Amino acid sequence: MTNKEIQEKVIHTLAVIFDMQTAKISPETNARSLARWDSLNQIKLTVALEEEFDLEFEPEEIAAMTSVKAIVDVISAKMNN
Amino acid sequence: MKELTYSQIIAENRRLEKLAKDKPLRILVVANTVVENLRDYLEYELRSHGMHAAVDIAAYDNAMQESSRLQHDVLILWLDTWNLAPALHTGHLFEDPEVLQALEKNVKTQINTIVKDNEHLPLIVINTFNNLLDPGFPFKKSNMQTLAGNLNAYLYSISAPNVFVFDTGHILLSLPEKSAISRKQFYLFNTLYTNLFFSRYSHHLKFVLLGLKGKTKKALIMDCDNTLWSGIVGEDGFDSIRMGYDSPEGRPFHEVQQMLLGLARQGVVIGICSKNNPKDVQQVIDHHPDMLLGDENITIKKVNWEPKPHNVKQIAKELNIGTDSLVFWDDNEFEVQMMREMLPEVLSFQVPGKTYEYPGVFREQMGWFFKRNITAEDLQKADLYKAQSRREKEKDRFTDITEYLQSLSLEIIIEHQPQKHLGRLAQISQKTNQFNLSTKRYEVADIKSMIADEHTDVLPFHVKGRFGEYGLTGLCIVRYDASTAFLDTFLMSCRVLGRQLEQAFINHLLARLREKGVSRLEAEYVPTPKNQQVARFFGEMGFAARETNEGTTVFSCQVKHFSPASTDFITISSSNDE
Repeated sequence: MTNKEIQEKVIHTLAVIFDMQTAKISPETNARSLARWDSLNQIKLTVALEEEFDLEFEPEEIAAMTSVKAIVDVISAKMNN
Repeated sequence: MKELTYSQIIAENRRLEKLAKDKPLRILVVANTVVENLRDYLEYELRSHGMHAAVDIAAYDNAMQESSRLQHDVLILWLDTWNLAPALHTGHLFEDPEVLQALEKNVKTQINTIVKDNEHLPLIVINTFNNLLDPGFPFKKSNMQTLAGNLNAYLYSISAPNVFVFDTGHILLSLPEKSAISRKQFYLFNTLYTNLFFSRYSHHLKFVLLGLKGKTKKALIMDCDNTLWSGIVGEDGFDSIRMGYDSPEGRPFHEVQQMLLGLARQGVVIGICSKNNPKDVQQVIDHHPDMLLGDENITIKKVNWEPKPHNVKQIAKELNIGTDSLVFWDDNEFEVQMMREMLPEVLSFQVPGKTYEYPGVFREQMGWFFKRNITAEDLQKADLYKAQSRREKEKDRFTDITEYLQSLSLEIIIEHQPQKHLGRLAQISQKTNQFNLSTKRYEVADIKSMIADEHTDVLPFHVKGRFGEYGLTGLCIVRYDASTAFLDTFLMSCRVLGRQLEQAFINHLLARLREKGVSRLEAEYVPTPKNQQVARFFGEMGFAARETNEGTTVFSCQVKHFSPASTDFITISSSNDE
């Protein structure tokens, strides 16, 4: 999977969980700027991403996943390992 | 049926919600653990079976506060043993048997109060207490297990007709631990259960909820060959088909027939629909030594070479019930597919190819015939219970929330060495959303410099109670300017909300300010999508409100004239008092 494909899938998943349009989400979208990106939705998001990408995040990775870009980085590093 | 991923379920849920026309069944889940994802699974299970439902999740760990005189249709009480007291599963409470007994009694009283307060609800579902996080040892029951056992015995003794006990152990037994719970999520987010657990839970719960609206099924239509018995009677012959307990091929079919017998005794209509010579099938029913079902249990038979959807329609007609109250089982994929295409309202299942899985799979779908069995005896029992409960009412029931809160012996301990907790203070300032006056996010360095500032008081506080410690869960930062004090920060972790601790703290703060000669207290409330309860709180406390041009609200009070409602059931002390 290329980074671009990963990013598309991440944005799609985020859009579903947060009930937003994909067009409103960019790599810069992050937990501080988006009110609904709270800890409850962080649980939903990580569980959904684990399922969509068929992988398991470590706690440190989950803690780091606070923006679209950061999520793509974590996933791409895991997939290329 | 294809399993959907979690995102697909969320998306599908939104689609179904838009389609729904009728009023939703309103379900409230009151839990002492984070069960947020349950909402998605439960709504999906119900909506995808034609029942509009809206699930609310009540504030975390506020069972008593959230359960009085509800306006919902259904209450689900989800209490995990490990969190009946703070960090109970770590075992600290079990050193003192008296405290433990008091806790057991307290939980029973809470449950009893909730049940009594909600006699008007059509349904209250209470989960059993399980042993997750402390299963004990093979030769030694753990104290938590004993507590859970006692509480479960209590649950099963409740005879209020609207109370159903959900045995979570049923799901836990059917899944490997790693599929049912996630220790990773538990340490990260305080949420123990996996989505798979929530999905299984919702699967079983839906039967009871669908039953509320009469949406369960009435008749079960079974194929014969490789569905009631192993083998094909028309080809293999009478002597070669198997359905006996003592043959490996037959045993799964024996078990399924046993379950069918049980259903028939509960009044479920059993029918057969088979492509066979009627004579062959009748001979098996009449004469096969291992055949459990007989003509006395089989209400209707369609044994012919007609297409099955045609037969099933005929069955519905003859029984005078809708095709949507039928369940159909067949081993043949083609037949099952055809039924799903032609009569999608009939719930059609295929016998698994691995027949050793058949009884388990069949059992999972028996809930479709769930009946709220209210017999005359049950009703009588309920009357007895009512009479008895009236006598015991006074001692087993909290009359109001204050009495419940009193029973917890809550204490606030103000930390006088905030410099020892810099990391925790920065963390709660960054993480707390709900009860947070200004939502100012601070780093360690910010906190440090405020502690050093002589015009600022940094007042973190610990909360503890009779049943354990909640830890450092509150922070108040006060700035002084001449005779006015400004609340820069006032926040509390959601773990300790709903206990009037915020009120007790402000009462205490005002007493302090009075001693210091401060005449006025101001608190600037900065609204966020999450923190409305702070504004409500200052309003209820009787502070004056003034809106600013920036969209914030300044709450203020004259220290001298402030006469707060009493919160004397909460003790306040300072950590250096000891």
